[in-house]
Amino acid sequence: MLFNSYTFLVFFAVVYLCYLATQRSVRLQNALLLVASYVFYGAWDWRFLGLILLSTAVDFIAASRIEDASTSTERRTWLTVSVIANLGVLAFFKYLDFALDSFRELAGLVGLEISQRSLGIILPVGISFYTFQTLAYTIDVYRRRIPACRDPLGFALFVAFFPQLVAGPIERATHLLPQMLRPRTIRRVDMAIGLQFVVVGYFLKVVLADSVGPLVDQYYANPQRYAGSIAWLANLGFAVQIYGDFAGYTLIARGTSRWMGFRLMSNFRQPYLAISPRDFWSRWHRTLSLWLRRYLYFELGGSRFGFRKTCRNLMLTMLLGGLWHGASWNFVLWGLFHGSILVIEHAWRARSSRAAETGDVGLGRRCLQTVAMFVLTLLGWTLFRAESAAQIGQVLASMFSTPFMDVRTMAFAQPIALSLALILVLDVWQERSGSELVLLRAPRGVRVTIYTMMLLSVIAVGFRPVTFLYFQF
Amino acid sequence: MNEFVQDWTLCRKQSLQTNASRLWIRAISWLCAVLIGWLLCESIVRVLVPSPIFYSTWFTPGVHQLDSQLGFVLAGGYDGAMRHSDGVWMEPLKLDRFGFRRTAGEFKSESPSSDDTSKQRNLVMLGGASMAFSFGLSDRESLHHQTASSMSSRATIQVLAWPGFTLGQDLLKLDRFLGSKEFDGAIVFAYSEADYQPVSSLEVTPGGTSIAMDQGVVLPNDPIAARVGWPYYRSVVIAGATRWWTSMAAAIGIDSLGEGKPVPSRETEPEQSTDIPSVSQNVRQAIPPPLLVAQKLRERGIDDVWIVALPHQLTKQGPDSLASWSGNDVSVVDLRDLAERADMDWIAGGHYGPNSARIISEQLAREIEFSESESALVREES
Repeated sequence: MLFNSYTFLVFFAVVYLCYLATQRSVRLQNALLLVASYVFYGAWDWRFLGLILLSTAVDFIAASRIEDASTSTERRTWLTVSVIANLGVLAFFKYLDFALDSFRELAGLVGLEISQRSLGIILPVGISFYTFQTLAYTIDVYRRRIPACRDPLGFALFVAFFPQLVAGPIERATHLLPQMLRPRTIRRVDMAIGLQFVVVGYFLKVVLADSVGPLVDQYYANPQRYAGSIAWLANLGFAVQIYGDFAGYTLIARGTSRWMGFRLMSNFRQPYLAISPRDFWSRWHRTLSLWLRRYLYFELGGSRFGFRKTCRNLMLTMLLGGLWHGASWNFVLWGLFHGSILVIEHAWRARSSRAAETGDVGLGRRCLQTVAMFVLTLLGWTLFRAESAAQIGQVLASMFSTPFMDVRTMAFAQPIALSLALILVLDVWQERSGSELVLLRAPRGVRVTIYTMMLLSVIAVGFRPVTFLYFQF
Repeated sequence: MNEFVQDWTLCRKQSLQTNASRLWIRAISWLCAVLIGWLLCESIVRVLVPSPIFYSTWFTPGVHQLDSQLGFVLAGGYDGAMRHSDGVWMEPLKLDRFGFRRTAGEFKSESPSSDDTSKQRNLVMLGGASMAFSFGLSDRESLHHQTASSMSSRATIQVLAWPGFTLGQDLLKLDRFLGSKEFDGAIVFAYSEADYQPVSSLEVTPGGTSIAMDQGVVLPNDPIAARVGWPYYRSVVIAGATRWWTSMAAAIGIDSLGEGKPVPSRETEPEQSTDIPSVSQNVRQAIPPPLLVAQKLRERGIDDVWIVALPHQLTKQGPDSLASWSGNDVSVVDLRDLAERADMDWIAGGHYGPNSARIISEQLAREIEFSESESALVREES
């Protein structure tokens, strides 16, 4: 069931009415939301509900046992059980085919022929998101950051909560779990904030991302047929598409949750206004960045053991971050690319003085840095979007080669430039005001105009059956 | 006391008036905000989503006109462009005075091989709809032009195909528009599944009942559009809102359009003429349309008829073998297996690309010339 479907609107309306009707009992509300979440997920493929149930059961039991354990060995054993179960499921469903294919290709390079074909394993929607969320919970219990949850209903809802089940945000147990267990109050301000999130979210996804998506697909289907300008435009288009798509999903998830009294974590903070790689990763997919930093980078030692080890840790973290997105070499390359620019930034920072590092940056320099980082991000998106290594070469060559213009340039330029401009206007507005709730704070006339424009645009364009890009991860 | 009451009443009146005017101001400012939002939406959506996505048009405006016999036909003398529905590409298109693609051999580059005009042959192509129309290809890349160029003798080829039109309609066009013109040979295309289904007559139904027209472009007749009328085509918001309504109604199981009611077209529909000719009324046995058309062409005095089975991008249409078609005094050229060649290219939703058109044309020209030389040999022997 997609957020951008009429079925979801009807589904949510029914669930929400029932939710309001059961406001007196948290347990009843949780039971209702859990059933709704399983229906929501089962609408894709009911067989994969078993995986969620498995993940829920393993982590619930493991965390309880970790807390109850009297020895550190027992604690470590239960943590290992949880890690193996979660990563095992992820490895099997997400990486086994990739590993087999890569092994076969590698063997082919040294002259060995292996007839074993890929197993054709279907990737369950959102598996990376809920696996990371539950894994983080067990690790937090192990580290005694939070107590183990003793309410199976609340915990099951924490794992399967439908607004954020299939594409995040990857919630931390310390943030979301307590909200599952206590009564929720829905205030007027929550309704208003939820409305802003939902309207902007649908606008980003349905109007912007889904409109430039076909142009990007058209280009990537035959990149050799287009001029350099269109290669740049297609990559700009992909930047709009992936941001609009993913940020749109997150906002709809946060808005609908807010209407029910839940607060989900923010996943984006004007990422295309980043001035450096480190800044970018504090703005883009923030909940994944946080997860990787907390449970991987710091575990590897972070920046505590000298320059070389820091660089190694950065590369390793970004490599695994890239692989998290999918079992494909282009994600590996994308991860390595971002790891490399982070390492370069780290080296540059190590050389420059601390004062310069923390000092104010002038507007002109800031703009230059933003543009430079945006170009780097675009190059990264080429690695992310391309379908093969050969295509990456083709696209990059096209971006820097002649002829630059093409008769189709304007057909690409118009929608892509307008959608990018709309995104940047909103982002700059939010950045300058220091809040994502700029529309709520705007004068009423401006607010009504913008809401009307966004809502009517969603209605005019309509729901096209375009799935969210991050569902595949 | 009286003064106090008077003052109080006055204040109250003023206060009520102020409240009322405040309400008015607020209502007007809301209305203005909504209107500005609506206008912004209409502008933004028009730039972001090209109108063809709303209305699925594959030509620039002005391409269609209403014809009482054939429904919406391509307009004679049209000078515009074919385009992809997402607006990514456009290919200029000029049509002749009847609305057909310009005859191969008559525009700019003539067939190269021979200067002997006495041997020039006039051929006509029927059937194949948008594939034979060469949708998405320039004149030079089109199927009929490349066929003419590939032939060793000088030839002009008139193509009658229009997107969405059937073989029966093409035959009617031949009679109606080019009745007086003599052709030395005809190429009849079989492409869609319907071209392989035996029929006993070629009914020619005008297309006006299932389509609507806006700015000279035929649009699929959306039942909602017919209900809403012209605002549907003028405002993306109104079009979107009506579509939302039906989709939401469908999601909760309500038939918002009602059932079984015929939906009127926006333009005046062509009158359902009762004397539309049934192209072949006396055929007793059901045979596939291309064979039926071949019979009619021979009756018309065109002796050389080639039936050409065109390749399809997705599936091989019709029976595995067309051997049973050959015994009807026609030459059958089966090109369906060409679809499997790796160098065939496909554009514009499954139409032939320039390479595909070249491959098919070369094969077609070869087959035509081979069958001509064979029949010449037979004539000499006899």
